Amino acid sequence: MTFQPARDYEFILQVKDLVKTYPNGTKALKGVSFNVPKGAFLAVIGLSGSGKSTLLRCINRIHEPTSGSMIFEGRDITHVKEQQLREARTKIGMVFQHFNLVNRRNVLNNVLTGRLGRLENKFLGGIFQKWPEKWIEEAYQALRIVGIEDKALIRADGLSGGQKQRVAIARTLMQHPDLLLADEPVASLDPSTSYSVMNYLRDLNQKHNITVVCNLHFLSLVRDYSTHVIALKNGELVFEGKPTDITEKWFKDIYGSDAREVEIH
Amino acid sequence: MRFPFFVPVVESERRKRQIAGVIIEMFIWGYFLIFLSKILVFSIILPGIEYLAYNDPPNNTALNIIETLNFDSRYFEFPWLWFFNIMGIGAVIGFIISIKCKGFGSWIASISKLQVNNPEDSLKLHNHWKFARIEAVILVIVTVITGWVLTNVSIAKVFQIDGLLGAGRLSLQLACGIPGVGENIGSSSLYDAMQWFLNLFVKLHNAVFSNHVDLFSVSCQPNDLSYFSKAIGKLAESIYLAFIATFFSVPIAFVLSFFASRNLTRHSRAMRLVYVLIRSYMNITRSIEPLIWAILFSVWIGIGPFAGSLALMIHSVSSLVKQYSEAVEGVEEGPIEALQATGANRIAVVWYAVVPQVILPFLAFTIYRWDINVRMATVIGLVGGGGIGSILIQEQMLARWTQVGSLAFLIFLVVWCMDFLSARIREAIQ
Repeated sequence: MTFQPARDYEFILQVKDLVKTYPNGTKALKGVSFNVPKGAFLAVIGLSGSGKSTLLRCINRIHEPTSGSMIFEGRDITHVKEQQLREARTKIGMVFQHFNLVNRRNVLNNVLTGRLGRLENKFLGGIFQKWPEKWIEEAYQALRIVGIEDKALIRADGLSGGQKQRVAIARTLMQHPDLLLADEPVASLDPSTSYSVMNYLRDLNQKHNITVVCNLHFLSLVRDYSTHVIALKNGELVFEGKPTDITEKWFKDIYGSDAREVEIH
Repeated sequence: MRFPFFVPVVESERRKRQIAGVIIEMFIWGYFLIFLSKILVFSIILPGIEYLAYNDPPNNTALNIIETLNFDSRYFEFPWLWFFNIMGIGAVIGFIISIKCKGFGSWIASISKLQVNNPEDSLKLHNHWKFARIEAVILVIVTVITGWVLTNVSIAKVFQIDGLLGAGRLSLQLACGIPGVGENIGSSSLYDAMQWFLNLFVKLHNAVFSNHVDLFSVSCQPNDLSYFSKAIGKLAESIYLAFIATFFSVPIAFVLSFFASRNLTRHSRAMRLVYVLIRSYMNITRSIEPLIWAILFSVWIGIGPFAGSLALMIHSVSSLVKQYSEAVEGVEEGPIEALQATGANRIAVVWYAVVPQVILPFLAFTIYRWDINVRMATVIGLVGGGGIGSILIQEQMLARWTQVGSLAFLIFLVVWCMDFLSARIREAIQ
């Protein structure tokens, strides 16, 4: 089963037969194939341990896939060398469940690190350069988009969970990504903060035209925000379609027969 | 009992671990057997029988055994040929055991981290590791007993009266070197109090045993202050020597530590090689004591503080690299992943994601190293490294214990200040 894209649709990301086996023998992905249309908000659902996080980390090759291929914007990035991989990565933003900010730096510095991919490689990777004025302005702008410009000079460990996630979103905004991978962005947040963070992600998707691939736990969020859904179970793709297609039967299939749907309000 | 099959991850990887497990198991059993023969039989049981045999009155059975065996612990040396033979027998036993089931060796070779195919097998595995745990406990016990025998641990020696008297006299004289100890407060001084306290033990001894000994009654003759002014000059030399050694070793260790940490060098073979090279260089320089480095450098450069500081530096670099790289290995992976995902180059990832996380531990280690170096600098002086150690060794050779006490007091003062300072600095930057 594949998506039925409109004729002029273009796939931003094509994943084919992706297999990932960890060194300890865990088979996290067992041949996953799917396509992500440009401009989509793709939700990835499945139980914990079904391979969702591994999938996202394989797409930008933070974890090296065992076999299979990923084609991003028409280019195969599965086997490219580090230089080209870094170029591809600058186009792929990523947001994490645990935010992954550098806690001892202030918010502005954390946001600016989103631009590290464009750092000119002068001496020692350019680490001793000052941030260009233009970037700093842009960083403030990114912070304005997620609504925490006033926290710019506060250290990242002084923020609440929701604020940290917004900083992380601002950091990926600095990249000007075409594709955003979000690894359970709201799993460690409370329900109302979850909605606000998800709203920011939808804004990026609709206003900034960034394709989003997002791991989610709550089906209510999936129905509210996503345009496409895939489901993983034990490292295999078991469902692919629209969020409205997830019926009771599919749900039992994905989450096991004795699962019950939990709503988030 | 057959060992369960593993998920065939990477066949060669699994085989490598299994072979490593068998080899370690063989060594362990060799070790067990050598313990049984060399330590248990020839260092504990036979000398015990010998003691009984020549006891007064002699024990006839024991004497018989000793005479048939022709054993004499004074001249006995364990032949190397026996050693190898026993090791070989042990290896065979270990091999057979590791075919039958998996023990401690396989556990060390981290086969336990592999996953099993069949969930029922994990129960079986649990039993196997129970065996490994028993083996580990035996290993520890065997090692403790061997250590006890080899280092001639003797409680009796600790409580010998002659030794106690000597140590008491020495500590009284050392205490005398500390300024103010001999001064009278009211009718008695701190020195008197200490002497009284030590005499309690002597009185206790005299009450219990028949060989009465005299009480301590030595008067305190403190050093004059001009001695301290000379010593403080040398002390400053030591502090700065230690500081210079630490200061110049920090940048070198800082750069090397990233190449010497496992988590940052995983990605390519070349980096792996660099990792191994730095680690082995470090281990070589660290295993040679600074004292020996100091001898080397005082021959090379000439006697003086510079030789001492070079010796300390060599040692500091390798120790710092080890501690730093362990801090680097303990950083959160999250920020590293996040910055990799932005397409940053490796140097930038380290600089922006790793360095902020490790700067505090680095500072703590550095200050601790300085502290160690100050103490070490006193020892370095013994072999021509300059500083307070050079006069410490002179005084010690002349058995001028009061002066030695003064010097030790000064060193204590410095270490105390260093401890206070480092705590304050760490608090300030947190």
